[in-house]
Amino acid sequence: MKTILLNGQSIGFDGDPEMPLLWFIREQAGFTGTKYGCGVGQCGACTVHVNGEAIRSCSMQMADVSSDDVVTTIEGLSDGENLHPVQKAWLEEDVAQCGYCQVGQIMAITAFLKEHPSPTDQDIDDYHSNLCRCGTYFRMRKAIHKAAIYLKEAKS
Amino acid sequence: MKASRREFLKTFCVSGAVVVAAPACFAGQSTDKPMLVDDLFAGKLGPFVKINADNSIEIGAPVPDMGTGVETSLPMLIAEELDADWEHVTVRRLYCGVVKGAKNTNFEKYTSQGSGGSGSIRRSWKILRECGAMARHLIVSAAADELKIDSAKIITEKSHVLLGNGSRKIPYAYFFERALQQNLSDMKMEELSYGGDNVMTIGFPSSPERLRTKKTSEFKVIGSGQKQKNGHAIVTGQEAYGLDLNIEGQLYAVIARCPYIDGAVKSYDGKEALKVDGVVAVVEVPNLADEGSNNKLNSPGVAVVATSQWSAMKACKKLKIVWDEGARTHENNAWYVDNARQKLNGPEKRLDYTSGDVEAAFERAEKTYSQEYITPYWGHFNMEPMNAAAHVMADKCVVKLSHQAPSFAAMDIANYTGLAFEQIEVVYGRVGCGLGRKWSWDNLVEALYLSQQTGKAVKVFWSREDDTQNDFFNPHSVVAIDAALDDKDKIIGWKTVGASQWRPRLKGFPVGLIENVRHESIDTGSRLPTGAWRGPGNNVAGFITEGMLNKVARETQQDPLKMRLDLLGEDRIYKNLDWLPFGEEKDKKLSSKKMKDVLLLAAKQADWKHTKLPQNWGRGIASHFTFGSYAAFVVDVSYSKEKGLVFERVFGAADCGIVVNRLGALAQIEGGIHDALSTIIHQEMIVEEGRIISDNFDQIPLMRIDEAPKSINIEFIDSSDEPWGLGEIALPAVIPAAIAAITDATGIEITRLPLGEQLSISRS
Repeated sequence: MKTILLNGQSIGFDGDPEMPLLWFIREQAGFTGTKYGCGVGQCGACTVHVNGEAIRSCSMQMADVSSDDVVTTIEGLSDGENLHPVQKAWLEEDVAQCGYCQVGQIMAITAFLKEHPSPTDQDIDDYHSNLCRCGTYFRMRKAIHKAAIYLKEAKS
Repeated sequence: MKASRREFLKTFCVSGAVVVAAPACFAGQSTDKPMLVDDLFAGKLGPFVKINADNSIEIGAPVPDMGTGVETSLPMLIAEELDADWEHVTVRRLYCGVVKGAKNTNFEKYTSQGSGGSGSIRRSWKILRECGAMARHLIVSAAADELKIDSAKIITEKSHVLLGNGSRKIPYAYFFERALQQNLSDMKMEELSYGGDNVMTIGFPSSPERLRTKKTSEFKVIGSGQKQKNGHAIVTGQEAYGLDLNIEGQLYAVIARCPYIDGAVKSYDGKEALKVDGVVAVVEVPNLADEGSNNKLNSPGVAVVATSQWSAMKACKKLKIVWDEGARTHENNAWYVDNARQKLNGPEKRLDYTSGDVEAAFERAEKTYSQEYITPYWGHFNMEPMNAAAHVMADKCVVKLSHQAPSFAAMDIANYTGLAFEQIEVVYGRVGCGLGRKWSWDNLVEALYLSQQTGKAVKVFWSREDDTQNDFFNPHSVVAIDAALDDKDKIIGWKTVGASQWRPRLKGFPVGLIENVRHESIDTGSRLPTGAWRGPGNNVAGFITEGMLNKVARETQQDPLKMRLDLLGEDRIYKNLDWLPFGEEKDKKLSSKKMKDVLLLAAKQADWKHTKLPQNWGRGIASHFTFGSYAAFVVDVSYSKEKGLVFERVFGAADCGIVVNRLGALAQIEGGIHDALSTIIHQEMIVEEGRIISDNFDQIPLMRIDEAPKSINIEFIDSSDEPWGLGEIALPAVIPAAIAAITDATGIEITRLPLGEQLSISRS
């Protein structure tokens, strides 16, 4: 039995070490905000943070998650009722259509903006690869730039 | 005519769920006790409206939202007539269900509840506004009673009753309890049939003013731009999709489905699968279609049923199955084209439409042009794969799933189980994209069957591979077009011959405007399962018809905009010869003015005549009429060795009649643009030896943000005509506009989708 620190809770795990982190999060811990999209790390719908880094949780086995790792999903992203600036920007730009991929997009972008606090369009093109089937990229790009501004304002 | 109590009961009793929900009102049948709002609608002012003590208003959203925004735009219709303060409206997903009407016919209760054919607004437009108007009427009547004033003197605004020319404002909530006690004994459930829908909804034959709706000029909410009410739930991960819904005590199933077209399970060995921890059973899932049916319902296969999803997923890979490969192993991508071409040249063509004298037109033509267009099978690739959980019991059935039309799911369940509608509970989530796929019920019937077999609730999980390989695809097509031009380069003859499993809808613009036309079609006889895919039939028609128009313009050095405007000619209404969902015969018309207007507006935004494009750029234009709405686009692309193809800018215009939610409407057009461009680059299902080979996004990656246009400018034609839809309107016109732009930039004629080798040839 090992314990996984997920959204600030310690949750025990003694199941199949081959099981992807995604299914631990959804089925065992019950955080269903993280979505399944492809199971092979191609679409990013299952993106979560492991130690602050964006990880496609469908492609990380439980064997590779240690008790020292800090796992954060969308349910642990905002500070209580206060939305994370990326979530706020997403709402203001009314990005979502079906919305299924958007949690993964938001988790990927929060990690991306730590590395690229003032992203250019080219940075976004080069580093953001999550799939949205509805075609919300036009608004998403605006929301990413807006979120970058909010994050800088929050720091200053 | 005033309905007697007995008549009222008769009409109301058919809506079983209401009887169950409000038994109190039927207790004293023989008395003249009035029918109270509260008895009939259990704490709501009609089917959809509930007012809270803090004067916030909860509005029911009766149609699943698969990204079309209808869980916002439909409540806006109700809010408009209710004069609700939209800022303080919350929206609640509301399943209304199905009831039996006269002659045992199924009627959707209160309003149509399916999302498809770009019809959600169209089909709900009248009924939902009337339901909003009724709720307002109840509040106004209650206020008049309470304040002892004439109801005609009451003004309502932003969830308040205004008195004394607005000097005094009283919240709706103040009158809510009294409104619930209003007498509704003049209400009848009315059976409405229109545009293919059967709906049983509220009516007031003796007091129609209860349902009187506003004039267009009075709209305040309709026509504004509102963000989605579900936005917060979505960005915080709280929104429940079908995949997130569970039935208590459920088992999990994963099914290995036969990959072969028309194939089956020959034999299987589940011993290794059964050894996996948590596995409860291995169950064969047969072809569940009615005997003799030639259409696929579900793919037969073998299911692993387990106590956890991961156990089922893992064990499914350990099944050893020998497939009956069926009789279609000759089907593959090359065969689809060869077979279609053979059919095109064969004798079995069917005449779909003809006008004038086509042969004479081609004989006297100054010039003729011929072109063949090929489109592949497209998959849906919804981000949320298919899923369904079901629990079938002796006298009850519960299903939880992702579905575009839960009322139709209920009808399927009733047929399959023999249960009555009152015994069927359907719970649906937000739909993680549908695009036509989630109207079929293969996911549902599998869950029903496995629940029956195991006697437990079963949730069937589809992997991405399952979802991709067991899709109902947009059909492949090969179409040959010939155009005949006179000495002034005017098109005087038009011939199409199309081979497909369905016919591409090639009878829209410009066909009704050309004097001599002939359309023929032929079924390819392919058996790959096909189904609705964003703008069925129209989705490829734009590429073909508009592609040919652009070719003619190019070959004759005509401005493609001017050529279209000339063809459209003076303002006139002419008959729409293609299929129109959710419309009556009187709606089957095309307006040359509307088409000209969207072309001109798109062109104006792009500054069509005067823009000097950078080197390596190209520009194209196209329009299309889809399911009642008009759209035109100008697309700019660039092409260079370093960057390849870049979709630089998209300018567009649409006329869907009244725009309900401007922000949501724009999102639909933006979505259609992205889907069109993604399809041009990425969509092609690969079939080998009668089975789909493509299975995941590593083979068909679809568009990511780096390929998406960075500039989009859309405008809507200002219209007071009744609204049609928008979900499927953009894609059929964007594809040919983008293709024309690519040809303009590269000189390469594109006659086949996806671009593939056609473009990479020039990279060397």
